Amino acid sequence: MHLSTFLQVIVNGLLIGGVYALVSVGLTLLFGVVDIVNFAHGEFLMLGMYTTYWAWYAMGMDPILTLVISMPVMFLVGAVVQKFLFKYIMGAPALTQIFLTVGLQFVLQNGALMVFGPQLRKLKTGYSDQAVHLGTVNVSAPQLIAFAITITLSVLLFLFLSRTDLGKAMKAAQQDKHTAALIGINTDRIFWIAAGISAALTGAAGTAISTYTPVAPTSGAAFGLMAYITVILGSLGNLKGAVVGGLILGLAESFGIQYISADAGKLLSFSIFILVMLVRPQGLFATKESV
Amino acid sequence: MKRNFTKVLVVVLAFALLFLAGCGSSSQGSATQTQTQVKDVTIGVLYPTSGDQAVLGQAALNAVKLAADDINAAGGIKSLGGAKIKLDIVDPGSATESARSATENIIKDKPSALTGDYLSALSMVTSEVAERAKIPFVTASVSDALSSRGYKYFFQVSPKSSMFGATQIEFAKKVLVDQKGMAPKAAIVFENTSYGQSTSKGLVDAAKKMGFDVVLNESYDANFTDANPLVTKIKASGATILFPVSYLQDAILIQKAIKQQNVKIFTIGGGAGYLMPDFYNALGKDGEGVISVASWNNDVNKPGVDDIAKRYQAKYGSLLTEHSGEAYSATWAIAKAIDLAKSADPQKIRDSLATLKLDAGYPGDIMPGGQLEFDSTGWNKSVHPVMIQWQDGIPRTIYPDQDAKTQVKLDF
Repeated sequence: MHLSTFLQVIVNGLLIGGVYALVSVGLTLLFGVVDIVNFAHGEFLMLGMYTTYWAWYAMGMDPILTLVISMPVMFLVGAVVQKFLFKYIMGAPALTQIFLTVGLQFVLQNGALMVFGPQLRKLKTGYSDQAVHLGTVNVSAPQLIAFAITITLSVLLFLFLSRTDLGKAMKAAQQDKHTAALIGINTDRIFWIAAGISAALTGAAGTAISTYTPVAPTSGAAFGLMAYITVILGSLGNLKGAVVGGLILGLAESFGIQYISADAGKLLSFSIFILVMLVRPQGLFATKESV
Repeated sequence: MKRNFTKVLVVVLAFALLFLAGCGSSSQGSATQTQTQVKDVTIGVLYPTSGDQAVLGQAALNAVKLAADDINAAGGIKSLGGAKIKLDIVDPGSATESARSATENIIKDKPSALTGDYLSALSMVTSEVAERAKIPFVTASVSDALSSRGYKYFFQVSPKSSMFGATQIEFAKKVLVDQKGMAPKAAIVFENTSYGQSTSKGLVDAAKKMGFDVVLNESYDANFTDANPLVTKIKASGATILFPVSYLQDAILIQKAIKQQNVKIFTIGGGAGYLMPDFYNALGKDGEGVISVASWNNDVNKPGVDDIAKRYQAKYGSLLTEHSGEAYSATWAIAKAIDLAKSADPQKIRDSLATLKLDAGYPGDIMPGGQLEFDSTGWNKSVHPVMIQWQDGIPRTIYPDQDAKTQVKLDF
C-alpha cells in the first residue's frame, strides 16, 4: 500500500463527504424544524445548479458569486412550497408526506426536462478543473471550495439557531408547536422561514456542485439519495450529525473503491449505514439534539 | 371545511401537473397517410425521443428525415413512378415494453419497411415483432445477439459490438505501443450494466491476445457523483493506456479527474459518451486528444459524407454523430431495396434487401469498409469500426488508414 495513494484516498473521501454534508444540511434543518422528509430535496439541488448555470451563462458571473442569486431564489422556492404545499401535510401520516413530496419530485424533474431539455450543461470557470497539489496529493479546487462552504454555512446556521431570537423561536416551534403558538410565536411564519432557509442552503450546495459537475434534469437524484442516507446516519434533524455522517459516508466510498473494488464504494458506505442502523436505530447522534 | 378543500385542490393540481409533465415528453403522433396520384411508400421509424435516450434518438431521427428529404428531392422511388418516401414516426421510449407496443402500433399502419431503435435492447424487441409481421427492419444497433437468431426480416448496417474492443486494442498495439513505444500496460474500467460488462469482455480478451498486461479490470457504478476515487485507483495501477467503457456524465467526470490528479495516461474510450458533442462541450481543452472507437464518423473516407455532414449541421445545428450517420445509411438502403423490388410490398422489399449491394458512390453507401451488402444473417458483412480523436473540438477519423483523412496526434 503506497502512502501517497492512501493519503489521496483519505482526501478524496473527505471531499466527497463534504459535498454529502453540504447537500444534507438543508434537508436536516427542514426535518428538524418543519418535521417533513422532503423527497424532492435532490430536485431543489438541481434547481440551485440551474440557477447558477444560467446566472453564469447570462451574466458571466463567477459561479461562486452566484450564491447571492441562488440562495435568495431558492429561499423563495422553499418558502412558497412550504406555504402552499408542505403546510397542509405537516402532521399528516408519513405516507401522505411521501406521496406529496415524491409527486413534487416528478413535477420538478419533468418540468426541468420540458424547460431546459435533457442535455448536460456545464459551466466553465478558471478553477473548475484546477487542483491544489500538496506533495503527491491532489486536492480538487472546486471541491475544496464546496468543503469551505459546508463548514461556513454549518457554523452560521448553528449560530443562527442558538444565538438569535428567530433561531430560538424555530427551536421552540419544533419542540412543541402549540405551546410555541401560545407564547406568541407565529409558527406559520417560523415554518416558512425555516423551509426557505433550508432550500437556500440546498441552493448553495447546488452552486458549489455545479462548478465541477454538469447539470441535467436528473442531476439532483443521486445527491438526493445520499442526503437522505446522510441525515438518517447522523440522526434525523441533527446538524452536527449530518456533517459527521456525510464525512463517514464519503470516506467509506473512497476506501471501498480503492481497496475492495471499483464498484464497491456504495457497497461499503451502505453496509456501514446498515450496521449503524442495527446498533443505533436513532442514528449516531441523539435526534434533534443540536438543531 | 375550506382548509380541506384547499388541501384537496393542491393535491389534485400537483398530480395534474405531474401528469402533464409526463405527457410533455411522450410520443409524437404518427404521420397520416395521404393519397396522391402516385402512392407514397411508408417507412416506419422508431427512435426514442423521450426519456433518457432522447438526445441520441432525436439526432438519429433527424438523420432519417434528412435522408427521406434527399431521396424525395432526387426523384423519389423511380421504379414506382417517383413515389415519395413518407415517414411514420413513433417514439418507442427507452424501455422494452414501450418499444413492443410502439412497434405493434406502427405495424397497424402497414409500413413497407421499418428502421430505428439505436439501442440494442429495443431492437431485439422490434425485430421480434417485425419478424412475426413479416416486415423488414433495418437497424444500426450493434449487439451481436441481433443477427444470431436466424431472422429473415432483420438487417443490420452497423459493426457488431464484439468488434469494438478488438479494434481499440489493435489500434493501441499498432500505433501507441509499436510506433510510439508506450508500455503495454492497460487499465480497463467499465460501467457495471450489461452494456459495460459485454463490451469490456471483448476488450480484455483482445488485450491479452495482443500481449497487453491488464493491470486493472474493474466495473464501476456510473451513478457516482465524483470520479476521483476511481481515478486514484487507475493512477495507482500504473497503467499507461486507459480503456473506459462509459456513458456521458461518468466519461466527463473521469476525464476531469485525470487532469486534476495529473495522471499520465492515454485514454481510448469505448464509444458512447466519448463520442458525444456534449462530452467535448463540457470538457473543452481537456477533451483534446481523447481517442475513442466509433461505428461511424462524419469524416470517414467515403464519397458524399462531407456534404451530408455539412447539410445536417446546417439544418439541425449539431454534429452528425455515429448513430445518425448509420441511420442515414439505413434509410437509403431501404429506398434502394424498394426501387429494385419495384414494389411497396414488405415481402418483396425483404427479398430485395437480402440480395442488395449498394453501388460505390451511391448516396447511402457511407459505412466504413466495402459496399453495403447483407449476408445471410442480415449483417452488413464488410463493415468495421473506426477510431476517432478529438482534435480542435471535432472528432476526426484516425484509424484504420483507408478510412482516415487525419493523422493521430499524441502531443497533448
